[in-house]
Amino acid sequence: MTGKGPVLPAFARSAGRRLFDLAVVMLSVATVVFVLLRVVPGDPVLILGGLDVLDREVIARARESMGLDRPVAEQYAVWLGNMLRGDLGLSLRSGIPVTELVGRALPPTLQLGAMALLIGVAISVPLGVAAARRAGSPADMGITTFAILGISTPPFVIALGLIYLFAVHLRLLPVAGYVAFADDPLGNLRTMAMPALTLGLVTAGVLVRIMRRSVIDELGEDYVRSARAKGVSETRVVYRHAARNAAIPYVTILGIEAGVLLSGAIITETIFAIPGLGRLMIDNINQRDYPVVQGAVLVVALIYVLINAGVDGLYRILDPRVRAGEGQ
Amino acid sequence: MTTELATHRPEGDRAGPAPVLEVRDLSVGVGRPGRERSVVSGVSLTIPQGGRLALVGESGSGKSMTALAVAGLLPGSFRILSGKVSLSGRAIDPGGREMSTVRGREIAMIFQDPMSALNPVMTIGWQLVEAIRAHGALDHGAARRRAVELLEEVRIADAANRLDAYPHEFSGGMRQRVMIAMALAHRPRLIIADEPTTALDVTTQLQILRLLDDLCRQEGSALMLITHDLGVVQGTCDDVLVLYGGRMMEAGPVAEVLARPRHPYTRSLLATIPPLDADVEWLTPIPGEPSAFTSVSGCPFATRCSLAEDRCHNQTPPMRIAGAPVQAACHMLESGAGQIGGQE
Amino acid sequence: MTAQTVFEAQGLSVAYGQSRPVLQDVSLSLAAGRTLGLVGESGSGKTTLSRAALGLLKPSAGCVRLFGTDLATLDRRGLVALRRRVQIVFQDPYTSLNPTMSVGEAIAEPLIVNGIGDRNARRQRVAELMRLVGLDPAMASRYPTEFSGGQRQRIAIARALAPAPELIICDEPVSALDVSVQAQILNLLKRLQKDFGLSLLFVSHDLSVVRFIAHDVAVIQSGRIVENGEKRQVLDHPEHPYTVELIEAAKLRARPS
Ligand SMILES: Nc1ncnc2c1ncn2[C@@H]1O[C@H](COP(=O)(O)OP(=O)(O)OP(=O)(O)O)[C@@H](O)[C@H]1O
Ligand code: SF4
Ligand SMILES: [Mg+2]
Repeated sequence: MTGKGPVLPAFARSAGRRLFDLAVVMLSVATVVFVLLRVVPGDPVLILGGLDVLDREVIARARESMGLDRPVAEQYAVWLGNMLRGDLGLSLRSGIPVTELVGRALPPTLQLGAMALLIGVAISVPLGVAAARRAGSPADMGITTFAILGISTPPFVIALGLIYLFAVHLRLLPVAGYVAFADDPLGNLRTMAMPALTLGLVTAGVLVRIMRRSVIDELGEDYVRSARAKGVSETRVVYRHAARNAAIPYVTILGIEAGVLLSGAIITETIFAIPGLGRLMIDNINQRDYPVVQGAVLVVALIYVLINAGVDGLYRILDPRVRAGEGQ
Repeated sequence: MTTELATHRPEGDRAGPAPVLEVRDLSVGVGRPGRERSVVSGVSLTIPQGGRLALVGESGSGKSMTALAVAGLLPGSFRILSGKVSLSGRAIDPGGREMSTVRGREIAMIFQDPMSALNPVMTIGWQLVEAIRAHGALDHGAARRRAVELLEEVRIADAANRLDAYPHEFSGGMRQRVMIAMALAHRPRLIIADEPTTALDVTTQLQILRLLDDLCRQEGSALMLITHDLGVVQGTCDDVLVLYGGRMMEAGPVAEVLARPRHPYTRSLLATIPPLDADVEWLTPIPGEPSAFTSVSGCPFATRCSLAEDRCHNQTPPMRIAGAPVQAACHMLESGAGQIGGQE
Repeated sequence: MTAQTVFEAQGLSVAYGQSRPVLQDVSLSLAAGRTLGLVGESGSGKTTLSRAALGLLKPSAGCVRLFGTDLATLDRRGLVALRRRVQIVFQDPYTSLNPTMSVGEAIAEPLIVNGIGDRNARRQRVAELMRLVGLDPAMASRYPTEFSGGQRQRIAIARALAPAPELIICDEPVSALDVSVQAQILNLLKRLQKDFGLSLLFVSHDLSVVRFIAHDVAVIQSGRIVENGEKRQVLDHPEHPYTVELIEAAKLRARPS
């Protein structure tokens, strides 16, 4: 039972299953997006050309070139086939390949998400544990208030507050804008600091509460009493026992929050003028630029699925019972 | 309550080495200060070096709270309201900081449910090593070797290869062995075992109890055994303290109390157990059910006692000698202690 | 003349999935008006056997007969009709009652399910059942959370008695109770058994309890019946080493002599 032998094949099997799941999820997302965009009223050609395009012939030609004149089922089949080859089509507006547009928008969003998550974790773990240790005390109340504020304040209010503080008042950071990390690492961090902090604070609010609740629950468990009975120091009891077990529910929420961050990124990217995936989607939804929106949504879905896989991986590390369960 | 009466010393009052554990007039309450309800009141007990005391009572009688109070492990909203605790003659503050040097080294504990008493995400070895290294200065390697020795002492086969197993890979009985191994790590003077076998299968119960018994003798540790099973007391312990509703009902040597119970509760409790070696037509149950909190005044057993009269509801009977060396707390003992105690 | 056989297992084997069978070649029978104590440790198959007796499991070999009918020959309707005659009382009085159902509703439920009586008749029957198990009928409108463990077990027993069954399966009905309360429930079950000529299949790990309540004892170990007979025969003159071991272990917890 304890041997390391069966773990690898079991892992391989579960990885195979995961890959299959991934394919199913992606296909479903692709289909839903495809259908939704065609149900929403508004004709892309009319929007593209502006309202003064009245020449029917021009319109018809535009439709033909976009493939919009063909039956929906055929459009779907063609699109799926292309997608499988990694070809997400061309932007209706600019003619630039969607893969390229998405490829350009991806790094800022990923960086923003990662930094925000890091900030959220860095704030929530120590604060959540501290609040749990002193549950009911003024310190706990202060931390809980901070968490509720973080959750209930809309991100744009936090963003405006930060802009006022750091950009207008202290003049430490630029108001908005974006520089790629490769071009100017310091400048990049300066432009990303506030957006990341905005999202990080929102995330921290949720995560602090989860950490606090989970640690309180774990502190009431029998094994914690056993640890105390051994004469283990309280700090060790809290961190090596309670917090270590609390990490399991925490990671679940962390995975969900990572997904939520992506949607939070849309607003934040707009406020701070960051050319990320969120901006890309917003801009192109308004324009009915189907291929771009489809491509962006697909990539976001892919990120969700990968986050889920990451969470499952973390479970395997954190909880030996999950590892054991895989053998069956 | 006079302290002489409240303390039971099986060897009489011979001056000798200080008892391992001496508890005087312990009360434990739960709730906000000023509005607390007591769950243990006026409990006193003494365990001599190497002695074995059983704490017996039905659920809610305050057995666990008494033990947890002594070890300073009371859960959140519980507090010691009054009382003195001394270990080997030295007064201690169970709620104080220095208790972490006492727990695991001088007092060790074993709990009821071995399924939840071990940390599910850490290996058995890690948890044993932690217990070993919590006191003393063994390095990791030496602690691991000691862990193997301890597992061998509690008769876990193939101990060296079991260190890296997780609790879920062990059966209930094996986990309880691990708990015992941890308790023994520093050869404590006192082991408190709170219903160590209740969650186990009957045949496993027997093995675990024998193991605990053997090892306590071998290490010279005193034992406080908490159980709701009067049968378990026999053969394992020297003395017994019967609790009901957080108060002491009867205390004395096991042989004496079980053979000639003085207190109506002890007697009723014995009568409710179906015999194993004889056929009876009907059992003699106690009416009603144990209540959750101790009465402010009056005998806690009054609502269920067939002998109860008015004063039982109003005056709390003190512990008094009820035919030495047994003590009991019952108003009826006054008038006819001999009758009640010597019945049969 | 032998009394009618209420429950009978013949060469019964049950397996969950691919693993080793949980019951192997079990043969047992319970006569009308008698109590059979089934003793064994956790995982030995006691609960599986009681589930099989209710027709909830498909045997992989052998058969289960209730009141002389092989359960395998019954269709769904036949099984449902039989179920009225067999009721069950579980171990944990805290989880076996639905907390959102008043005590009266809980006791009336098997009557409704089996289409017995009208509203009025049911209300009367509930009151009668509550008195029978020592509960005040005025408490019928209260909810289970307001009752103690022993009272809940009384409620569960009243519910089991409601459709006037001939066989009641008791799965560790007293092991979650305090000893002083356990004795009340044991007396109650024994009295009901005698008064109504019920048959009880009484599952327990406690030999003294089984000695008190049962006429016959079957000892089960790892899915096999290792010893089976009249209780004095089994408990006073055990033949199988496992029975001996169980008795030794039980002495530890028995009433001190
Ligand atoms: N978490 C809690 N909150 C409030 N009261 C509690 C809590 N835990 C226990 N109590 C109460 O404390 C009293 C003493 O409980 P304790 O656990 O010491 O009893 P016990 O004798 O160990 O019983 P058992 O046999 O069930 O373990 C009881 O009245 C019980 O209702
Ligand atoms: S004091 Fe009264 S109520 Fe209490 S045990 Fe004695 S007789 Fe019964
Ligand atoms: Mg307890």
